[in-house]
Amino acid sequence: MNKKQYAKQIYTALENIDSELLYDARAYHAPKILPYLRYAIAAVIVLCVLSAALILSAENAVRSYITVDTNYGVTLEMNADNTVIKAASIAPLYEKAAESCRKLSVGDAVEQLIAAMGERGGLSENTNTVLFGATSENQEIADALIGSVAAEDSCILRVTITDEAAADKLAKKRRITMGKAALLLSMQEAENGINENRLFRLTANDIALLTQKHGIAAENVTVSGEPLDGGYLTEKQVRQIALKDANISPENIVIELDSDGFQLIYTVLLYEGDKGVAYVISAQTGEIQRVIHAAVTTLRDQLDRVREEFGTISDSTPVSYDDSPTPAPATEAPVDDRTATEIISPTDGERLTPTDQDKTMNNDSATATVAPTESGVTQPSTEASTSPDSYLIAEKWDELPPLDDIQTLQYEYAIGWIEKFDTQPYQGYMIRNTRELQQYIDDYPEKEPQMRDYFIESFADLSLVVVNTEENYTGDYLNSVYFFRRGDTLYVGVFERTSQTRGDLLKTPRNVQQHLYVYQKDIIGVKEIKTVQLTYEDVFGSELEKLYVSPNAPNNTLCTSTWSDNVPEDTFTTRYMVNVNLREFNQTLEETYPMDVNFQNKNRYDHTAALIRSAVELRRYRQVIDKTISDLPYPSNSYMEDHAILMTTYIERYSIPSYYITAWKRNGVLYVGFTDESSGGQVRNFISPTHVRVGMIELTKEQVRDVDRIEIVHLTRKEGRTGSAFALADPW
Amino acid sequence: MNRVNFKGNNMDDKEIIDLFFGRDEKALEYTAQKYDSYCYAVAQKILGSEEDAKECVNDVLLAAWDTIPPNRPEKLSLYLGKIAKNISVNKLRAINAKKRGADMIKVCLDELVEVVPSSDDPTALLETEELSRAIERGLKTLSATNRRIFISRYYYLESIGEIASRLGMNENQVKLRLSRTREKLRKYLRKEGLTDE
Repeated sequence: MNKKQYAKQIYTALENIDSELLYDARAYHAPKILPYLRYAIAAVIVLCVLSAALILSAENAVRSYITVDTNYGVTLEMNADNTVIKAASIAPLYEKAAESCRKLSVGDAVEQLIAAMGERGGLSENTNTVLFGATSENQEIADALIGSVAAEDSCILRVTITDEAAADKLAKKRRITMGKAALLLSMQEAENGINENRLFRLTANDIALLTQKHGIAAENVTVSGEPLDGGYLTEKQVRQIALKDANISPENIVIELDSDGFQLIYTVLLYEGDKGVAYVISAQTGEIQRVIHAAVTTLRDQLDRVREEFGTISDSTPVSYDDSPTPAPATEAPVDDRTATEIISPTDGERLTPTDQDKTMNNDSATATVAPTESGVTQPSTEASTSPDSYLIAEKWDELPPLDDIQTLQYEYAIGWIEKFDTQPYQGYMIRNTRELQQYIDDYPEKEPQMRDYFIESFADLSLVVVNTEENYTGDYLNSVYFFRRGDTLYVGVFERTSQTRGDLLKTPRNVQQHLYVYQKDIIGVKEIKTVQLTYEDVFGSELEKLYVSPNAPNNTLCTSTWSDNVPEDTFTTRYMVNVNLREFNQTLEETYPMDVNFQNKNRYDHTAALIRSAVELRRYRQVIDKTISDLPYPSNSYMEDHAILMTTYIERYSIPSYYITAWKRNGVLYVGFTDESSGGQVRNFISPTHVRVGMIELTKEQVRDVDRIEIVHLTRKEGRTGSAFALADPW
Repeated sequence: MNRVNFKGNNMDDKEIIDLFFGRDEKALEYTAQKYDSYCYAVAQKILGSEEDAKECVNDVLLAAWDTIPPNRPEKLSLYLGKIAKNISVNKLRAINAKKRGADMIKVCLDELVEVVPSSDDPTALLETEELSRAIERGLKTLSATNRRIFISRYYYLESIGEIASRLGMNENQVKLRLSRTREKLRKYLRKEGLTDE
């Protein structure tokens, strides 16, 4: 049944509900003003008009404040008539809603804000808490407002702002509303050991959870209703995580809900005999963030010492991003100035031969590509082979150590939780989770309007690396970005395209930021990020393939690249693995054609194929292909958990169909065959391409697990038609 | 219906009901005498129109005749009042649907799509009676104002302006409340397992 049919059923079902409800709904009329009172009101209006000059000057004077917070919040400044004269929010998400509150009555304004917060995710299935703050004279108004907007399942945190100056000061410092600031100050006063430092980033729901859990009774604060559980793990689940890791049978277990300053965490203390283990575990993900082994008598103290570091940001560190170049570190750190080419040694496999121009271009820029760290040289981890060719090989992620203390960064500009890497000439950020993304948006709303969509969509398991690169006027990226990792260092490799591949299109390059996604679990344990400039050989040589296309790599292997790499003229097989059919053919391939992603190439067949194995890669693919093709149906992220997609594109000329697309696998190679169905199987070289067509073949992840690489093949009609794989191909 | 015999006003409900059971048409006469005004008032409150309300009262008497027996209400006023409410609300819905036309219904249906909870469980089934009960329960969790607004809109097909005027609110408030109520009901129905698959 589709939604419209269901809606109709609801419409019909209303007929059978209790007629008392139906009757009441219609019978009720709000009390009307008696006729004679109308005259009284008219008189008052006249008086108001007569006094307009006097009133006008007073109207704009701020008399009081009301704040409304869910995660971020909005501050309403009202005049004596409780009309909103100013509404502000630090969150771009609520900016528009806040702006539209001006000149509204406070009641209407608050209703509007609550609705906006519901739409923007501040209130959801997991969060139902609203924090209302009001200056003293506004308590009645606040009461009325809360009554009108509170739903039966709401949790309302209510704070009276008694010390406006103190609240305002903290609000400005932490970029929160005065109401939230007043709440935190009250909580600090009420409970030893609480520092607003650890609370100011939390949502109203999280604060309510903590307040409830710890029975904090702060002055001027009331809580009514029950906060929702935030979708967090339960104590039981967290207990199991800790026990599994500790592998002991403790005599005593103490579990507490806490905040590390950025998110809710659990601390779990396990006591066995005279020894103890303490865990700090993310309440959201269950990730073990810290493990402390100590004697029973000192375990709690050691944990408290760790807790003191929670949420700490030096007061002198501004919560903003500094665009200025990174000054050279003062320490005399030995520099690893090997180029990436030197690091990756040639293999016995076939290598592509770069052109001379390519070599010149790349060699000129391929100097000092590995930046020194602030504190020391980057060494390969001790268990690595000493041979350079293994230096940049990706590792299996589940063998990596757990996240230790990612707040301790090695960059000069580690700002709060946002990691920045700043190795010339490329700069960027790593944004590890939703909260960091929100902070990033707050700091740079003008730069990243598209981030807001990402914020609302699933960012639960993704992290984002933003790299400053360039694009040409057609919107093609001029740099390809690759990730690879070694130990606790994440390398962001950037390949600048050669002048040949950049071509004459390089008229007006402009700086852009590429947004590349990685799974959060793939960056567990990353302590530093470095950019590495890659050469042609690095990118197109077989060694790089190993970096991110490992035969046995799980599907979450950390590998990303901009899809629209401009492939050089030489014969080249795509690096991407494609998902596809299981049938194996014993046909002899007559020809092998190269993949060419340059849609403007006139003398090529312009077939492309890409394997999209995960939601991350799908998103990446969309970033590129959506520029060319619109209205393309895409599977959902949940579908991508079990499936993969072979995406093929080809140029259709003069609207003449076109190609059958088949795919088959043999010996770890995935072949994607294009069968030209026009004019007897002869491939024509048309001059002017008309538009790009896309083919999608859906497969399961299992089907492509053993695929190493793909090749595009042109099949004759006979070959194409005798194949039994057409069931999986969509004829165009 | 002629109502000239005043005897009904003094009759006990039990006696009138006995007449119904005896299929004595005087039951209708006495019922009308005693409860005509009451039923009219109930219907008028909903329908607003004298003519429609009178027509409704006639329908109430007929419905009473058709349902007693087998029903033997303990308090006739309540019983008749219930019938009057049922008939008048149904009548108003039909009148409004006809008056406002298919466009209004379409608009309301489009809005009601927001109430439809999506399913993670493709095996969940949908039964109308079950849905009615669930919606009823869901509506009862709402505040009176929000419930009135929802029903006025989607049962009575009233416009936003009409609802606002009758309930003493502004249109923006009505829209906001409607939007939130749709969302709440959606969650409620989903919680009840009544999804769209």
